[in-house]
Amino acid sequence: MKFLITALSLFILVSVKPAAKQNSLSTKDENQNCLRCHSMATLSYRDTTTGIIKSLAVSPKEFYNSNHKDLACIDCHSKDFQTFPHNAKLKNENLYCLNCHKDEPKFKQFHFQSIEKEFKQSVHYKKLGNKFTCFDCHDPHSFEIHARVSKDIKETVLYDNMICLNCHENNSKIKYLSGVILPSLTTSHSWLPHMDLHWKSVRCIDCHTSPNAPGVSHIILPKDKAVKNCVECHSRNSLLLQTLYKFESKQSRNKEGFLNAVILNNSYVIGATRNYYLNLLSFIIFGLTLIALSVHGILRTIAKKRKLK
Amino acid sequence: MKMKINLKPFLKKWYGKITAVIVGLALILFVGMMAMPSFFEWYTGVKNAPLTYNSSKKLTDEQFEETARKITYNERLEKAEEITKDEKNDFTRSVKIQMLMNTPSFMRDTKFKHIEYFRKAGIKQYKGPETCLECHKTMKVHEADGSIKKVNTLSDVINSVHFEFQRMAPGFSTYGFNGKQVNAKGRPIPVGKIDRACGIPGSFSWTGWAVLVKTYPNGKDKPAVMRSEGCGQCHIGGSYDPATEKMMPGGVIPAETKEGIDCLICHSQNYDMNYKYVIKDKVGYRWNQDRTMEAAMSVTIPTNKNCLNCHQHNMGGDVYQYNVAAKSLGYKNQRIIHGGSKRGNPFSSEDDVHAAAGLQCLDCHVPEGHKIPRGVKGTDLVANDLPNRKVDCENCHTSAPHTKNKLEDVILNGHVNRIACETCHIPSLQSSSVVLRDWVHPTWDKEDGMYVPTDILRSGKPDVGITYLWFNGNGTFLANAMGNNPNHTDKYNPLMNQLVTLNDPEALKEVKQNIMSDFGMTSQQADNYMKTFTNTLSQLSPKMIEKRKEVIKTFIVKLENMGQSKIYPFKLFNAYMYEDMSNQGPFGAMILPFDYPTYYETGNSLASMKKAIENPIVKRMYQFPFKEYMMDDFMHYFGVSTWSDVYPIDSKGNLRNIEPHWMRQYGTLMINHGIKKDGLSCENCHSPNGILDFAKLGYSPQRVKDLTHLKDLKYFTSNKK
Repeated sequence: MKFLITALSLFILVSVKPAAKQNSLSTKDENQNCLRCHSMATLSYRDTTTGIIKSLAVSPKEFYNSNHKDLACIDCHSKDFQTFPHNAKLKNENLYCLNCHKDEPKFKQFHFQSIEKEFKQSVHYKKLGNKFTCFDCHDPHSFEIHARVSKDIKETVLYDNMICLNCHENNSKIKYLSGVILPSLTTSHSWLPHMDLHWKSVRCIDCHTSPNAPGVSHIILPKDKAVKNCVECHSRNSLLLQTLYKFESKQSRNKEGFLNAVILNNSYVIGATRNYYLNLLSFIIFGLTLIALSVHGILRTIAKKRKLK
Repeated sequence: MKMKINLKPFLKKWYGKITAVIVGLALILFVGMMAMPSFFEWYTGVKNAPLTYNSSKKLTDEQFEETARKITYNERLEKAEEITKDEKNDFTRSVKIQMLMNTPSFMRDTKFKHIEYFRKAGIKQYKGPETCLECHKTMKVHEADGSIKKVNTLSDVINSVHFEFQRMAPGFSTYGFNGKQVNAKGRPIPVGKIDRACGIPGSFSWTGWAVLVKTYPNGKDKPAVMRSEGCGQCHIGGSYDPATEKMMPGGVIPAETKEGIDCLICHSQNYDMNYKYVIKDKVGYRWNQDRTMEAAMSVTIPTNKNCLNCHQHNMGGDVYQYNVAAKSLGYKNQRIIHGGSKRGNPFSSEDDVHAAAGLQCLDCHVPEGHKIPRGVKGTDLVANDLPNRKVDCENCHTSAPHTKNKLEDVILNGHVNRIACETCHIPSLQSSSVVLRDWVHPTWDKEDGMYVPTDILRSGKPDVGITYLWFNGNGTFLANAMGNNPNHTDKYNPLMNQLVTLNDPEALKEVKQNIMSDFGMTSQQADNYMKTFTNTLSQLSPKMIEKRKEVIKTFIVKLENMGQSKIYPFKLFNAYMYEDMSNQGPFGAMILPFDYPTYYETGNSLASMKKAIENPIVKRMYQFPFKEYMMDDFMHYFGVSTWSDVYPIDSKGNLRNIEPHWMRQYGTLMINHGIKKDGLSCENCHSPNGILDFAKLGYSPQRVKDLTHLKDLKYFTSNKK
């Protein structure tokens, strides 16, 4: 029986794989025509009103690692782009994520419709309206889901924070969008102890979004509503369990089992996985101390009795 | 009364013994330090003595004021003319101008602030650095991180590359053929201009620092005319030798050497290059300086004029039409003009778009105190004051430099990731750029009346004087650009392809003609001789070629794949010189310098070389401890396991193990100036006979075909017309 299942699954694997490969190859061929120019990493122009560099480049390496890797350029973009030079009217092409992401059942787990609602409540939308779109944060040509699949929290933090920093470390971009110049991040976060360490270990959105969202929260809060109270994270019911460690804690609970998840879950440090070995070590030390103390007590009692004799 | 001290009991005690040892060591150290300079001078032949300059003269009050009026004249005139421009009557206007120009506020209010400073301080004579240091003992230096540091001005200057000419520290973008970055790890050795022999000047700093040459422009039977020559003309020190002391651990510069520093050549707006000539005194030969009050009173921060006093020599060249410094060759012993130029990419408003726009050298080469950045990239073994400070086009022009926002500009911006700006925007070099220089067979220069090395090929054309290579910012120990096609295949191998051949048919035809007329060779002889540089590897034994391939495979490929490479233009260069064949490796042998006077006066290249290597410091290179101190390490970088201490002159005074050779591969010099607004156009590269050899640049045959037959090229070329 076991053999049969293995053979069957092998057969399925073998029969499915080439088909998928063929498919992606033809997409690749189709895309190659566009990428002849658009793979030039510096294909760009300076916006005549703002002076900002607008990139027209798509990195093939990033694209074919992204969640959209199986798509052809013209699956999203107009087919008219296939002629060169491109028709000037195409400049106004208006793409929107939800055009594709709305109804398909396989996208359900990502809660796109909820994201749309959340986004409407975010400070970005409230202040900038339709000037601000999904693409200002999420480049569809390189987008990867990260928090759900990543094994390394720090990588997720870096990836996600870069999304914010793309604008928030670049004042000319912010000025172009909002007309104001924000104080530098180091100034606005100067109250935060160990600023650099925080930035490496938590995401901007962990403090700057409202956590009440089914997926990754898109309710970017205004400055004064952001988390500023240390205890909200550095406590038993750390906020981070609902945000940064949301997906990891689920995984690790499954992996590390009941003991780690339930008994130790609310103990000493933040972080969902709560290093298993550290837990064990502290138990051992605690146990050893207890044993040593009792042995010591016993020995002293015995010694005293002998002296008395 | 006589006091007798008996030390014996004291010395018997333990603390007595320790004291005795300490006193003894201190005594040895003290005597050693006192004797060190004399020993050093004896050992290296480097001389030091108090330096005096005739141009340093004390002015009377009247002379001072007269000079002040003279150097501010144009400034005052311009201002007065501007104010009186509405005056219709010519005579009235001239009277007004006269009056205005001589008002005290006009006299005071000038860009030359030091006139007033000197007036107030009563300084009437410029005595060199000591005059400057009276006020500028320390200075504030703005560092890259925004902080301000107070430094000792003199030591800031002395520890800058402009004085040291070398560095015994990391910070080189040069990698040895042993795969190691120069001075990055282990014990650093002193390297840089000071000890890097080069085929363009044909000598190096010790053997060609300051010399006087007898020339016969009016015929050999007429009296000789003395001319000045040597590396020292472009050095801010005024001594008899380069700052060799800096190569020693500790590196203490004698006080008299410090007093020889030429502050004014970099700071004075009225520095007279006619004072730059070689003088002979009781101690030896050295370079004279302008130490007049006129020069001192017109100091400012350095302007283009100051930098170009020396640097136009290596950019435009001495014969470059707009080389201003080369128009003032000296009040006597005039400096020798070099015919072939090194890079041929001048920085002048006539030939460089940035100079024309009024940009100052220091706008891009932003200094920190007296340390001036040369950029992070470099193929040559030249020390760098600020190795991490970028001097890149992108610093100002961003990654989207073409801003007309036509489709063409967008595509051009796309190229920026692969093609350096210089590749298109330096379409050619000065035609005086020397590609092939034969030092072994000099020719008689009738005009100057002396023998000169024979430049058998000068060209500034693409694919002759310029070659195009992938470049990641680093170079080999023998000045070859390193990099690789981003496809990282092994197809691209310049050390076996581009840099070992010369095959432009037109250039070769010209070269052959030159050889036959200059050297009186027959066609057959010329062909044989030409083989040595049309295929430089023909000079290596099959065994050496195998070794060469091995070294490239083991060490160089890795280095070429580092970082991000772009296609850059490089000035090609090769020289035919005598080499010490005891120190030969697969990439070349130690080239030997020439003694300028012997060479220029007799045209006997062999005797001239022999004279140069009799210099004490060259002898020391072949001895203990110099060999261990640096030559062995130097040779490791060269791709040779150890420095052979077989001195090329034997005990009977005969030369040994010497052969003339071309370098085993052409040198590549970065070119960054002489930038033109209009660069090359698409079809210059994207055509079957374009200037970029895509196959040699490591592209696959299919990609080469794509690149040379671009589908959409017509759109751009037809739109242009």
